[in-house]
Amino acid sequence: MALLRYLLKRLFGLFLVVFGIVTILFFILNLTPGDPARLLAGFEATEEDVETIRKALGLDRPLHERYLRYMLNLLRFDLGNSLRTGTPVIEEVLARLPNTILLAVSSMSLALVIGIPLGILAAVKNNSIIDYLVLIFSIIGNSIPIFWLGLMFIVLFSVKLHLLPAGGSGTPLHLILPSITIAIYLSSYIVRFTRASILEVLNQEFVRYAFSKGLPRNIVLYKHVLRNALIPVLTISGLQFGALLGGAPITETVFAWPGIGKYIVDSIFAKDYPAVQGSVFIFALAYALVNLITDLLYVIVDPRVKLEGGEESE
Amino acid sequence: MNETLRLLLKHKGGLIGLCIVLGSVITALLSNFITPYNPYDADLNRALQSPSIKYPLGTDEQGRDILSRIIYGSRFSLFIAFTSVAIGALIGIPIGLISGYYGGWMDYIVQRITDILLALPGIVLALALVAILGPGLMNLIIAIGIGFIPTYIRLTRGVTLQVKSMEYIVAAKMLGLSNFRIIFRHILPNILPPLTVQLTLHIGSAILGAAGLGFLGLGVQPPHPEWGAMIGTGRSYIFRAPHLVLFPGLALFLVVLGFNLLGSALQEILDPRLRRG
Amino acid sequence: MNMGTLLDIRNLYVYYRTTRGYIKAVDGVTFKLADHEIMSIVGESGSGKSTLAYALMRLHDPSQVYIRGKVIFNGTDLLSLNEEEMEKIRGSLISIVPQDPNTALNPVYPVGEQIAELFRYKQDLSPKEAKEISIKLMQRVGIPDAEKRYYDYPHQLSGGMKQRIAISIAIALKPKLIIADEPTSALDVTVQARILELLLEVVKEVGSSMLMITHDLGVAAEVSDKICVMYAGKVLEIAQKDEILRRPLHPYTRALLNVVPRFHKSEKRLFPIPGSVPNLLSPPPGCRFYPRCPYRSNTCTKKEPRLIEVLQDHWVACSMWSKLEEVDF
Repeated sequence: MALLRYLLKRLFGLFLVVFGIVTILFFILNLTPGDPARLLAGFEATEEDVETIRKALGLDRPLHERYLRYMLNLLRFDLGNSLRTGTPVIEEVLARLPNTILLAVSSMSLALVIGIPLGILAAVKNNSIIDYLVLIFSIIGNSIPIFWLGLMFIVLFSVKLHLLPAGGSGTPLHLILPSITIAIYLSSYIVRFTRASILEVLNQEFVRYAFSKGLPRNIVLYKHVLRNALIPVLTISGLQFGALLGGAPITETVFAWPGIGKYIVDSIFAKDYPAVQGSVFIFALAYALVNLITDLLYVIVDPRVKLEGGEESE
Repeated sequence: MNETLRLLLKHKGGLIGLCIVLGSVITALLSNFITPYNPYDADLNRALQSPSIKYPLGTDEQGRDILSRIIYGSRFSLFIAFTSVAIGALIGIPIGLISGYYGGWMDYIVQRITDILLALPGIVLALALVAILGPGLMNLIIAIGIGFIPTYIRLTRGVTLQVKSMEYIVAAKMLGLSNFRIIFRHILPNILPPLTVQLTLHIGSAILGAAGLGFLGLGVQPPHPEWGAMIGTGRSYIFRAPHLVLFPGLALFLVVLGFNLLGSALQEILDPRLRRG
Repeated sequence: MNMGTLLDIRNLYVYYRTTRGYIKAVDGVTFKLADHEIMSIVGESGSGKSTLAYALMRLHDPSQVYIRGKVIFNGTDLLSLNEEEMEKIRGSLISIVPQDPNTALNPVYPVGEQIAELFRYKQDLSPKEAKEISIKLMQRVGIPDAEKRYYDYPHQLSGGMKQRIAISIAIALKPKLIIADEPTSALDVTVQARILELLLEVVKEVGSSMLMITHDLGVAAEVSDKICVMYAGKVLEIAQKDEILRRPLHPYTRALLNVVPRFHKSEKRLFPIPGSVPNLLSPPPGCRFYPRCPYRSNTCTKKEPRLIEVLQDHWVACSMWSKLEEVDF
């Protein structure tokens, strides 16, 4: 049926794109000056050591062969082994994925709970003091450096007030500060977007018509206006959620939250290229999947959108 | 244009934003002359001093005057931001124009490339690129700049498609006006309003992005006084000497706020539906 | 027939507030509408007719309009009611048939539910009961396969179908007054006649009065008992349909009648009225139709002519009416 065909088409496109970016990264990595084997071996290493490492990593094979081998491995989800720990990268990443997902879900939920009501409030009380204040809050939230906010929170809540842990994970308490930090930034977008969307919907003819039917004001607002206005908000939130799966590397580093983001950053410093490549691959995949799911949700939520064209009847 | 400027000056938030932006640009340009001390001058004997009359914002872990470093740091943040956004726009806009205007297989390929660039959200892409290219100023600019390209491609392409089908363009083509002329005189002016908004907002993003990477240690390297890097190194001393982290952060916040206020005001002015009052 | 007065509008003014001043969209309108009566308000764009319709239902944003006068409906002055009280009246006592059903219906809800919600929220029926009645209504307005179509979304229906739905919404709660705002202007010409027919049918069935807003004298001629001609925010002439069509007294009405194509006459040219509607921000003194009037004289610019009952139940606002030659229409 149409749904299946659409899904397959999208999945195919998804793989193309993901492989596209991994290919690009692969080639940039291998074509930039600098010898990874030498870098890994360190300054003290002898030529032999460098050669050993080179052989171990397969860096002595020609470029196209390495590429082919790399891509084939990717298909089997074999991302190689971490240069630091020797364990398969895929294991390391999968171990951290749940943490990142947890942080993403909790931040997103918080951001939506803060952002949508504020956006509605601002739109309904358009041109009032409240609208103005909400806009200001949104602009401020958008301007604060997340890592700085996180640090300030740590100083305040952890050190001065001894209320919350400063970092790491394990208890729900550990989740609070990182989530709030991310949520403040995210909600600034959600507030603006919700407000704009509602204002746009309020201008549409069917809203005036709904009022002309004498429907109670609440019904018009919640049933007619919101139902339409929140559709684009959903799409944006989906995109943001997908982005959050990248682990918000900066926030994770600030709070020492053991997720993918922090893993990528640590791997970069350790020059653990397989780990970096592998994590990026998994992340690109996850991001694309979330986008796909968001698109599908969009089809469900907005009856005007069809997967392939629509039909009109008389 | 003049109308926009006039409305902007009347807009409270926009006015504040404009002042901040101009203020920071001037500070950056004149930083060589207005820093009270040399931002790189280190002396461990006066390290980690709290703010005082002599050193209004205190000194950092190497004894350098923080105020001077913040003033001088504006050069980095602004330079990185302007350049990376410029790269994104200068590459993205022509591609978007051509792609939208001529369509066909060229458009298809451009769309696919855009998809690939969008496969990773901004910061992860920047991280990945920095991981490969190594830390440093130019690499940072490239990494961030590349992340902006898809936005400009899409924006330009969208407007181009919209304008292309309008009657006066069809008429112009029938009159035999060269494509080049059509693009320049008719399509480009339509791009300017959303473009200016986007540019302004992106600069704020770029400042934060660069600072974030600097914080992680992957951006501008010490001893350069880039605000993010300052926070990164200052982090170790946060309990004893929080001012190392506090002031660069405030600087970041203020400057980005300025650009965001400006961008937000422009957005309101140029899109009447969002107008207030 | 003993017919009471349902709607009594006295000196209604509706001005839009703008940065440049007040736009006098409705500038002193007075007329009456009886029970079961159908009156058409005829005028070109900018005459104020749509503004009038929405002002009656108080659907304007109060911060954007200035309204003065009396709108006595069923004994109550609508302008004195607060929003809550108006809410009770809308939909149940006064309803509206929108101009463009394509934009009036909410795109994300099934059409049937948009009828049912009237019963659910204004009459407290259960979802099941509401649905049953709605389906019956859909059948009444001629929607085939109503049970299935109940779940269709607006974009799945043609323009004519959507307007049928809108009509069913308008008559659902059996209101006393139905305002039809150019109900056929957004439809295909082929469909217009049938929709008009349907509207007339159901209005008579329910026993409502109707205010038909239209720019088309042909439409007015078909459905109305009474015709009211508006121009630039003012009423120029009101009379029973046959009377006004046979004996139009105002030059504007005559011009309109010249413009209606008549296919059964041997040859008739269209005489569009030269000129355009005056500036409503600062209208000229005297008669508003003056610049375009073929019968104008100096007196017309000095004083604004008042709406006077010059013949039995035939009102006109023109200083020159008695001087116009009798034309046989």
